[in-house]
Amino acid sequence: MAVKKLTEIPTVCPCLVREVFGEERLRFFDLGFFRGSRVLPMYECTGGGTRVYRVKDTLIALRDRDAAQILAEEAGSDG
Amino acid sequence: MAETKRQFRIALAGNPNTGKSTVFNALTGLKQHTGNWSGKTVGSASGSFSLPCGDAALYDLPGIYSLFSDSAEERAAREFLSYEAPDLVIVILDATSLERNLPLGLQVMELTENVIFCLNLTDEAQKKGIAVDAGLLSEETGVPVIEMAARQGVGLDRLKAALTEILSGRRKVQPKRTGLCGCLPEAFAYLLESCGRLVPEGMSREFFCGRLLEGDGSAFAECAQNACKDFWEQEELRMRAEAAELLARENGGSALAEFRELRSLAFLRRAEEIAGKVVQKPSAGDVYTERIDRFVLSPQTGIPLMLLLLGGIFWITVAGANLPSDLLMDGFRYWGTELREGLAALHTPLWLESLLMDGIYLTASWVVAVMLPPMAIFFPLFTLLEDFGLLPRIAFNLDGLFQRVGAHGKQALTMCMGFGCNAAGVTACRIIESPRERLIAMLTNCLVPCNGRFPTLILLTGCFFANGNPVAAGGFVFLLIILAVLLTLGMSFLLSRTLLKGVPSSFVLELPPYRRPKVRDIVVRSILDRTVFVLGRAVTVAIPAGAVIWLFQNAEWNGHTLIYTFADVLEPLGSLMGLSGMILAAFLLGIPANEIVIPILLMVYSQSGMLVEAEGMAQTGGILAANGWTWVTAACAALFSLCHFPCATTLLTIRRETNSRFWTAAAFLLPTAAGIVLCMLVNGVAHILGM
Repeated sequence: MAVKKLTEIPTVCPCLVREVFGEERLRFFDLGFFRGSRVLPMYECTGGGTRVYRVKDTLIALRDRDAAQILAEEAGSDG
Repeated sequence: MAETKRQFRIALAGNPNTGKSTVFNALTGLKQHTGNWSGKTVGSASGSFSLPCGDAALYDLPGIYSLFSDSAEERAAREFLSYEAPDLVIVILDATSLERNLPLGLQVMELTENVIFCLNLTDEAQKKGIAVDAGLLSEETGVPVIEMAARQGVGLDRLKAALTEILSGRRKVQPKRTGLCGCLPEAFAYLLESCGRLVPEGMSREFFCGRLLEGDGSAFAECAQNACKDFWEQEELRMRAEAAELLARENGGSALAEFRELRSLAFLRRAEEIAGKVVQKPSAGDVYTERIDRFVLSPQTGIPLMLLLLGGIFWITVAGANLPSDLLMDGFRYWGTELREGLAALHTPLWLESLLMDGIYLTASWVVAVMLPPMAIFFPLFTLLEDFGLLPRIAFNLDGLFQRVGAHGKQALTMCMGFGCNAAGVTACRIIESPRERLIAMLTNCLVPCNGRFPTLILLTGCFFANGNPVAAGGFVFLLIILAVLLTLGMSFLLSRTLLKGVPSSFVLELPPYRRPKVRDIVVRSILDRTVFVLGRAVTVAIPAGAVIWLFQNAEWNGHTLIYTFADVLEPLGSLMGLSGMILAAFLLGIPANEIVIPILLMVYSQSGMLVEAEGMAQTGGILAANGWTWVTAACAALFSLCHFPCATTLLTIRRETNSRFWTAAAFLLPTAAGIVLCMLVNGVAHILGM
């Protein structure tokens, strides 16, 4: 499966985090976005620009500018 | 001699929104505000309680995810845990998402031995079908684990018993540490040996040396500041740290920058591994939350639902406040007569009696009577939404808009709070982490009309636009609210492009699961925390302001009362704005509370020496029209009411929150300037069109 920016993964399509960039990397780790974590993009806000992701049993909203720092690959629904 | 009991110091740590404040309140009996969103505990609160082995001081640290990141909250929590050397640390873990909570617990275990894990929200976990094996968790970590449902008070006794056992030395905790997992072993061993004696008392040597290895300036500065007694020790520490870095490179270890990351990941991986062993959960997620979110977070239904909810809250507030307001007013009138008789019996001079009663008492009681009922209705309703978990979702729904104007999504929440009271709205801006976006939210908060301005808006639209039809008046007020939101967005946009230019900070918002609100608690704490707090400030301002208003209406200068002289000075500006000098004067004198602007005007128009309440909308409209008000005047007055300087209480709050005269002045001038320009525009267009 191809590695894409998290923002490019379609909504409700589960994916696995491959790599995280940027100065805020450690913060993303703390939120659960680190290599191997399973992420599910769930809802997009009205007008777009921010999306809610389910990661480690929690819903986290990230702006696209931040989510683009995370690379992920689509995963099959089983896992 | 009586034996003095020792005072223990206990810290409460945990991720945001895991119920730390609830545990804190349950232990200490303090009513610290807790809410269903992250980042409530901004400063750290402290309280005390007693245990069989002695008294304990409890420190509620801000909610954080990790000890290694660098936000203000994390730094505060880390420094407290590292250098204040508490006797014991309670780490609150959310049983519904253990994996996400555990890394912090593992990090705290590195710092100190006396750790207790509080597995909180077990009731919620059970409802979701999540089972956590507390015994196995304790075995894996070496730390006592207490299962709790703090909101229901379940597990508190067990927690106290465990605290007593450990603090009295009867039980020794031996945490199984994650350590550095083999990163940079040589450098680490060197530091441990050479700097061991510099490590502050009560702090783990391993943790201290690990911090030194992070190799970033701020970590070193923190260590040096807290560990070194003088310049020479600091220099020694610097040399040791540099030598360790060299050693790390020589031995082909990872670069220091990577070390931070590797260590951070080590905790995450271990948490993942432990959670994998001790947690059993159903394959489907949180069905209840998901079902509600399908409506609340959908672009089609989310915003209409939110508008309906907020509209409903406003309607209940405005409609429900009338009767108690009238009752309070009657009560104050009755007590006023009694007081007046008392003053007369004391042979108080007539002018003093008038100043005290017609000025100070009347204004202060007016402010209480008009402000208290709507706040006592609005805040509990708002807190209900907050408890349920809806507020962060509103912030998310609106983030698309706020992002485009360079503001923070949480500004939507502070705005909603501003509808209740701008001072409370400004205080709520603390939830916005980035200083730039927090300032934008504070400076624009007064553009949303608070409860104090709603009556004015309803009166003006009712009298001049809706011919007394309440439904039409409601419609106009709704339009004004939309205008207020647009003005806020516009002003935020301008600020983020000019005065507060900068890079938007990253926006991370955790959406908590929905929780059933606890109604009794909500009523108690929203009235205690917010209503009484705001009211207290308002009365403090209203007392001197009452005296000033009385003086303006009763003292004469050059044969005119002061208020007429003042109005004359303001007349040119006022008439350009489609208002009059007197209306502007009323706005300025109404600075203690926006509620009294119309009463001041009625006082002047009716030539009485004190604030006047009109009987009903039609009569007020009549008085205003008889004094030259047209619908243009009313439109401009409504516009200026939306867009002018914040009330004194809000200004005081801004001054306290920003600690800056400049920003307080900006908060006064910006909306006022915008209001003046807008009113002039409306007035100008009306003139050109010959209306």
